Amino acid sequence: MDRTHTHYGRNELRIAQLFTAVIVVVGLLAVACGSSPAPNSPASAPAEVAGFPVTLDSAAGRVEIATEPERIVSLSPTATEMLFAIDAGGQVVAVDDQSDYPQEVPTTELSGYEPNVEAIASYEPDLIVMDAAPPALQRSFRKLEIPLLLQPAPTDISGTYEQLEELGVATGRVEEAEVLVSEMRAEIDELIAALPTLDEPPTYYHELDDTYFTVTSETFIGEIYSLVGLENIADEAKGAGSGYPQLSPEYIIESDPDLIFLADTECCGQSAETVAERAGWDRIAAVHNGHVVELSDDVASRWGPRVVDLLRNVADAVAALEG
Amino acid sequence: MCATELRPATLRSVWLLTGLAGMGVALVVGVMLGPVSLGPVAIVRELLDRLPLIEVASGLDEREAVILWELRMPRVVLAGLVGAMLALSGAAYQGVFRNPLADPYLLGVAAGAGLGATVAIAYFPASSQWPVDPLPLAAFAGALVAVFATYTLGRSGARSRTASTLILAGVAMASFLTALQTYVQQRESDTLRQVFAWILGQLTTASWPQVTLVLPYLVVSAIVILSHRRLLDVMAVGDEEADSLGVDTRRIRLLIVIAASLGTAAAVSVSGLIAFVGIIVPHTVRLLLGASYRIVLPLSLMLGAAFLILTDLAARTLISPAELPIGVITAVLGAPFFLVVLRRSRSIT
Amino acid sequence: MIGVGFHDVRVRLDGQDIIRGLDLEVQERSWVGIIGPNGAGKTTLVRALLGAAPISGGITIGDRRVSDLDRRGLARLIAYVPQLPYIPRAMSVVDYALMGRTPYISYLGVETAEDLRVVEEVLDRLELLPFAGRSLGSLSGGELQRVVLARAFAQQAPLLVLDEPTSALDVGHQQQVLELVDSLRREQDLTVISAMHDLTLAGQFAERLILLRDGRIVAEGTAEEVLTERTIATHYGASVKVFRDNGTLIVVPMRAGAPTTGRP
Repeated sequence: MDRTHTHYGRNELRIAQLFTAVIVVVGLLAVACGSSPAPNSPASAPAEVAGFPVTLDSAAGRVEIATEPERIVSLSPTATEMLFAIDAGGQVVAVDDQSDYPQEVPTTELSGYEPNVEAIASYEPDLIVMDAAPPALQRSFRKLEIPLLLQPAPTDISGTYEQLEELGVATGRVEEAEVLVSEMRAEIDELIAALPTLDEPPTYYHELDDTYFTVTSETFIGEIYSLVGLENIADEAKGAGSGYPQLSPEYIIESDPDLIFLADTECCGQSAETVAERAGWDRIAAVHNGHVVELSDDVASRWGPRVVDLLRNVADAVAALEG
Repeated sequence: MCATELRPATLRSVWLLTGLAGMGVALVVGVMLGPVSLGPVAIVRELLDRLPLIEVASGLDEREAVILWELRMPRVVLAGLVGAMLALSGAAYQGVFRNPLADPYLLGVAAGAGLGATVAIAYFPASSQWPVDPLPLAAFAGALVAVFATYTLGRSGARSRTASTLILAGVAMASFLTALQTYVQQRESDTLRQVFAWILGQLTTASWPQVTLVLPYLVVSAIVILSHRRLLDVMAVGDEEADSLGVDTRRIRLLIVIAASLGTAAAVSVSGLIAFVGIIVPHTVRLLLGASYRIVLPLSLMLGAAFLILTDLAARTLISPAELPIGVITAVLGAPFFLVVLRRSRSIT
Repeated sequence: MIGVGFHDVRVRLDGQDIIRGLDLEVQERSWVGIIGPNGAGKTTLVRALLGAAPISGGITIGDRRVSDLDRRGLARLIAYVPQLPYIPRAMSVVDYALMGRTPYISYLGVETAEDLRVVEEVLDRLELLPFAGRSLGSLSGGELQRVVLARAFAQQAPLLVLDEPTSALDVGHQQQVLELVDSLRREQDLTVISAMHDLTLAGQFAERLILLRDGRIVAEGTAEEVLTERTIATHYGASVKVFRDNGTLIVVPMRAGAPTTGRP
């Protein structure tokens, strides 16, 4: 019994040593190959297209786009809307699974939340647009020499305009972007001018889900409401940190907002009826006066050209207050 | 030798009364305080007015009265019920598995409820088309299915249904269900925040219907568990010895697990996964008053109620008008508590 | 006053035959010691008696078959003291002893005055009354052993089954425990079955010895008859010397080849 034991042990030791050696060699090779500097020169000679090559300062650092992109992959639903709004839709080959507007966008199974580098690269993009990307992901795209344009959620509407213009430069649709921006500005100015003057700024509560998560006026959508002249009941919770606190229902009832905006009609099945059924909520002015506005979850969470529609909804709601 | 001086460990009435008083005080404080200040006198008068045959003007306007009665009261009551149930279940599991770190989520209850809730949030959002909110039902069903599966898993193997086998089966089941839940979350990533908030536990949406929904389960569960307190003491010496004393350990374990899981599943279905209550409270009782389950069970129930009422009070007032997730507060209290328990148990053995 | 009978008992565990066709009659009020080398099946036999191992064949206690009795019935007939009892350190002596009354307390009931009286008597007899309120964790080894016995005696069972009662004790306590068991056995007409590995103590206290090997009885009888050098050499594979002293047998392990110095 003793002999077989040591015999077995000796063999096993040899195998282990061989295995380790292989691993070490493979590892060294991988490191050697992986760390060779990526060539800086582009794969093909830059074409002579007006405006290109361009260099942009995006949130991901300097982005150099050599020629007008024709295979854009967008992993940000807002960026998708923007691209199509500035007529760059023809240059887009794939958008993420949450992008659903306008209808004709080429939606795929790509995910903006859990991006898979290989899947994205399989579309052979020459420009990627995202609203957030961890540094590791940015490095991967850099290694693959694919320009990545980061457009995170801005804090107010001027950010939207900037992003539109940036996309215009990046896609060679500078004029279209400028036109769109000025149209948006004009429409918004018109809407605001048409607002009724009220004695006091109306108060509002913007609901993100049925457990009373809301936004403060520090957020993008909060800024939109401020533009229209509304006051947010959640602003007292500003100190709570992120712009997305959870409110106590007691407080909401006590604050008695004039307007309630529901951004959880799709995720959580809320509506003016369900809100009225909540215990104690019929005491709220907005509820018993019928000023509960059902927004589209998507429109309320994006900062693209449809912001104007959102603002229109809000302005209409304010106008209804007068009556 | 006439009158005997020997007595078994009993729950002295002074402790019972203290426990009840503690619960009462917590209840009162919980109702008095909140993001909206209503004034203690007005509150008392309003509550008196609610009693039949008493008519008192409370001075609260309609909205404030609604806040008090429809929002705050059910929330405080629910916090008490959930806290009592979690503490009681925790103590019961510790007794039946002879493991001081057993908590009510041991046999996969948490993972099962989490999966049920995630599925409900992702695929069946609350909608006016449903007569009842599917979320608590899904969480409840998920919890019970998980425990059943764990038990079935624990029956296989040579040493079937012993304490350690069940614990291992529970760990395996929990891992599996958590993996499933993570998968669903990834597929439906826009519901991440909702799921996360549920998992951390919250009583923000407490209402009277929720109270009536869970009350029967909690009462049944508590009655079953409390009535077995002497037997839990006997089970402390292990299956083999307890069997030789005439106790059917496997059947009692099954019964207690069913009762505790039922109660925990009901509690979790309305409050999400509030952690640490099932550990902090029973161990505190043991540290203060002794280890007999005749003391630990009833006092865990009362202390658990008071504890969660006060914790929830903190959750809704500390950063008022914003809410802190209650699971965060219990975790902050629980982690150092573990150290204390470990230290104590090391010095005893 | 209960005799125990094993009739063609076989126990098979994990695909192995542990006990093979065993027949044994234990006289009432006697003390039977079960001895044998490791793996002989002593503990398994004890567990079979307790109904904790599946058997074919029959075990009777008095005129009742063990398989016919429910757990409580069995617990009123057999008091079992395990080799390494689990000691809940925070439990009091009284509470631990009171657990012996479990077979008599209704399922969800509590201890009655009668239960308390019985326990008090037992604690008194074992000189544990001064320790009644103490926690088990604060007791010494010898005191603990008496407490464990107290729980067993509180069961008021006619049959006492001990599994290696002395393995965790020093010499002084070993004697103390066995003397206690012997006195109480005579006072209360108990039958005692004990599995033991210490041959000398087994010979000194048990009236009859059963030598078990590979699940079979290979020798039985009085200490004189069973504890011979040849028998022990054959079945334990050990060389020993058996001395007589004042009518008691002393079994001493003897190194093979070592010079013998004393008289046989």
